[in-house]
Amino acid sequence: MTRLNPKYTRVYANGYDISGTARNYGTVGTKIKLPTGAAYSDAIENTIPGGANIVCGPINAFLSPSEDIGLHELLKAGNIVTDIMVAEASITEPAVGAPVFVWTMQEAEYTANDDEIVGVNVVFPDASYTTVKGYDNPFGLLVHAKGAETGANEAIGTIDNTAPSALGGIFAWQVFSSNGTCTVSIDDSATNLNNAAFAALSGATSGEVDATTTPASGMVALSKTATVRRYLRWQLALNSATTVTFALAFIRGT
Amino acid sequence: MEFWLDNSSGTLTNLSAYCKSVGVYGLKFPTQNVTAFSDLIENVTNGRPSAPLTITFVKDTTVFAHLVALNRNTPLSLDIREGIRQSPQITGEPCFGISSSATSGYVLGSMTADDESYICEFDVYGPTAPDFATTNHA
Repeated sequence: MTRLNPKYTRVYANGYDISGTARNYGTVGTKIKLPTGAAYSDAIENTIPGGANIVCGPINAFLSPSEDIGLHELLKAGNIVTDIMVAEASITEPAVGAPVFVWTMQEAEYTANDDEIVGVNVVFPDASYTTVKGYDNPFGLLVHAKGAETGANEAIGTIDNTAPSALGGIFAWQVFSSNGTCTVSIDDSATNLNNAAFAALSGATSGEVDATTTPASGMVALSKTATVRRYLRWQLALNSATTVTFALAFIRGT
Repeated sequence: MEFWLDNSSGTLTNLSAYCKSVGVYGLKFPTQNVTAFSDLIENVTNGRPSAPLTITFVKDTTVFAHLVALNRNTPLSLDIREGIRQSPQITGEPCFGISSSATSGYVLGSMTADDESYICEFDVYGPTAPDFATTNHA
């Protein structure tokens, strides 16, 4: 049991850490239609779960246009496709294993108001952007907390699901900065004995990215029948980069 | 009061340590007006009830793991157990819920989060109504 404290919530968007200006992320999650009906002999109105909408926001933030890189410059156009990652924690900044919300959302509104503290609201419609289909759960776990790495991961896994699964999953990444090209990805393993037990989780990769001047982000869905073994860990392949600052999350299919 | 909900393995689990509110629970019957011209008073019959639930949880890693592992199409056992003038419930005190089967139970619909809470909406799956009982649902 670990209670979460909103003051340690961190919000990332398109590879930018917007936690310094965002002050409330609104509501995030899944809304599934529950249409009700009943046959004559049924004792109660009952439902068969219908389609899902992923909801996010509105993100309320301080209007801070002086920032060269930040929420305002990123989202002020009002219609930006945005990779959102909300990571939560209890007594310090989010660490590996922290609950996360991740999804790619289509921004639809960026408005300011004349409150005493001038704020902005970033609104995303209640619908999933179409890059990921077949999944309806946007909640997963942080596999790599925001931080810099300078080489491949040879440590044992840090996420233990207690059992493998065969329902796919979603991999999401936020690469905040790098000094060249690199690839971030997820490894999985049936055991947690040593480095050799781990192998790349097929499909859970960013592909080559370069965050030297512009951060990179994205999410990719595995096949809905993909096997994901019990243990997970982050992985980094350096190409021309020697240091990369990033955060990774994985949503195991259910 | 205690709140119990199946986990992803179908084991009814006590989530009272993470539950903030169970909202309004029970059966709500809509009425159908059947007043005829010659009736001296408006009169109704009861229709078929509904029993949706909105459960609010604290933000906690344990209940998060429990909820995100649930399949949205799998009926779940659910039980709200009341202790009368004491807590927790003892034998013979009321509870409201349903014991699930392949064709009956509650299903989890929406699950959303804000700064303070996880908010989950459940509705009945299948033709069997949940009920108030004095023997716990299992």
